[in-house]
Amino acid sequence: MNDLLLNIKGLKTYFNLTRGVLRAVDGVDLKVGAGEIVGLVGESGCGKSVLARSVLRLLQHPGYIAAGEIIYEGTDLSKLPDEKMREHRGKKIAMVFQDPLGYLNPVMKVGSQIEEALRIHRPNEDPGKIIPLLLESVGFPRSARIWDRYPHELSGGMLQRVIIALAISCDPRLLIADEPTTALDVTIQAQVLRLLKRLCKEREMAMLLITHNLGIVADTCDRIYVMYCGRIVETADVFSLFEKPYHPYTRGLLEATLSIDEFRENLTTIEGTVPDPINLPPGCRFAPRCSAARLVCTQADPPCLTIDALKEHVAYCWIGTAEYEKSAAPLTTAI
Amino acid sequence: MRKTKSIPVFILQRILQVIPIVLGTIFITFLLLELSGDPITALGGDFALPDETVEHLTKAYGLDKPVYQRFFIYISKVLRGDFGYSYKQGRPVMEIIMERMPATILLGAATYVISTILGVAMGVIASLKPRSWLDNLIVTLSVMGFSTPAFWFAQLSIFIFSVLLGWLPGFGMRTLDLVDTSLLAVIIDRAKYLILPAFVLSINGLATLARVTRANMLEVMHKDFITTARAKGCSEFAVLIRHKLRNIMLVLITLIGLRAGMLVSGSVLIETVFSWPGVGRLMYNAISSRDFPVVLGGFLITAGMTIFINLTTDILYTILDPRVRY
Ligand SMILES: Nc1ncnc2c1ncn2[C@@H]1O[C@H](COP(=O)(O)OP(=O)(O)O)[C@@H](O)[C@H]1O
Ligand code: SF4
Ligand SMILES: [Mg+2]
Repeated sequence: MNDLLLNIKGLKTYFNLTRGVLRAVDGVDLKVGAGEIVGLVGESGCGKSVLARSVLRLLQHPGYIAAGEIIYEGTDLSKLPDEKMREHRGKKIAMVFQDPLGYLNPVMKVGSQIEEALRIHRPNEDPGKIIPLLLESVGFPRSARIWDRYPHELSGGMLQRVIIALAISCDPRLLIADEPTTALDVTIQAQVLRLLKRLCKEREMAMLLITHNLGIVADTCDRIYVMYCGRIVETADVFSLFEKPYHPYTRGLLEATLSIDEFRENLTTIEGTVPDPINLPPGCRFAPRCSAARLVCTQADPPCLTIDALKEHVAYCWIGTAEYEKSAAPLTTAI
Repeated sequence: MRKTKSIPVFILQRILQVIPIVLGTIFITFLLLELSGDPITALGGDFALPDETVEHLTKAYGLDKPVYQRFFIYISKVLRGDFGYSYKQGRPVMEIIMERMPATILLGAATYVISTILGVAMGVIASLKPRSWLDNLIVTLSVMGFSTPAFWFAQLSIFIFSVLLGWLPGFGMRTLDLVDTSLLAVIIDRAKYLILPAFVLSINGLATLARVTRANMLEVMHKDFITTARAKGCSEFAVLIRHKLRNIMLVLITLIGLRAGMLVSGSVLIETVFSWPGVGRLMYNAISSRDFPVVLGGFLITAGMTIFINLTTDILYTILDPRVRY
């Protein structure tokens, strides 16, 4: 791995709800190197978006960062004053979201929305020169005069490219793309992914690509984190992960992905449902759905196993440990 | 790719759409005028006019012509600003109304400014910290302001500020024997007379605007594009002005425009209570003395103003919201 750009350590992001504390992100470690494309995969509701928003501190009430560090180029973002945090947003780290129409201001021209970012972070440059170039770099010919358009005049794929142009407008070193293709047509999904990949290469920009579709990360990412119920369950170099998935959840995801074509939605082929995030089971959170679960799995948090030190392949699972071997046969694998 | 219509085309369309409304309004006044009885008899008042005079006047006013002809004559007269003569004063209605117009416009403008600025400001402040004591206070006040009749506020405010405290005059619009006649002194004098009626007249609109602003702010707060604005590094102030307010402006402008009609009807009451020498009080007096041309003239003028304000609102709306321009 190259220089470390983002280093998240033990991040916990909680929501204090009337029903109880919702631990959306519960002790996550995640690293992104400079220029690296990192995938974050997991079923809907496992905390991917909350993790992404935590990095830029864009959490919605009543979410808050309860513990952990978010170190970006040596600075802990989680403890930065608001004023300093704003200087990072858009300039150092930019974000692309899932639903492109909703994420653009409906009453502002697309060009003005990009200009707004430029005026904040590149005040001495002429937006009139930069904006056409930016839009060209995401595939709009200059003659289309996209900057003069309102969001409702553009299609979903075009809007997503506009948002990408906005995101890269101030030359961020890290792009967080939260399910950037989920809301798009299948044919356009591949285009947008290629575009993101190309931009990362050209601009030496790192990307944290969030998706619930392993097929998407396979083609795009250098390394992958698999998330389940607010925790990372396995991480590895992309080849290592696809060759030797260790965690039963990762294996489930992979089987589900390989059994359907590449860009299909939903991974509900893993049996059972995600537990209530406010009343999480003790021990391994995947135990209620895991066919390999044993008693020990429900008693204590699984240990961190190094699968392949060279490829930084790590999994959080009891399988293969002495305790697991000694442990009684599974309880009911309640589904 | 769909293309939004240009603004001038849209404005032209809206103006064309207003024409039937204007004609309809004139038709209604004409009908009321026809139903209000024989104007010649009314001109004579308590005395019966000699037959020749009646005949002469009937011809002079064109009352012997068939009704549809009279309607077209009426339209052309109204459009030229000729609303006929007052039974009471024998002067042109237009002249009488125009004398009263500045006072009404002053009161109306002051009311608009007060209710818009205070209403929006209160709504925004309340929405910044929902459920805080300040929010609760503003919500309570606006419910009270919305549900209490204006004449009650009028009398209460006259009683407190004029009778009890003696801070502000309770009726009229200027001191008749003002000694210092410098511009500043005159302005201050007018302002003193203006405060109570303008404030009382604005309470209802202010309360409505505060509530609608608050509700819309709370809604727009959770919109995804607000997150985008923050994600690109906007300050909270920029988010408030450029993204939140800019988006709810559409709703507010519609509401402010719709209030034009209520302002007119409200001003009849308030001008009467505060003896404000405007069109509203003129109409009230004309109704009591059955001076129909003045009543209908006032009706036409205020209807025209309401139509104009609504048209302006519509145009502003289309400029601000590109999505309606299809
Ligand atoms: N604003 C919020 N208020 C309450 N709970 C939230 C909020 N945002 C997210 N959550 C909860 O946090 C958990 C993780 O959500 P999210 O990160 O959006 O999942 P995903 O992996 O699909 O992006 C979910 O259980 C969700 O209900
Ligand atoms: S720790 Fe146990 S329950 Fe959890 S994934 Fe591993 S084997 Fe399954
Ligand atoms: Mg999500």
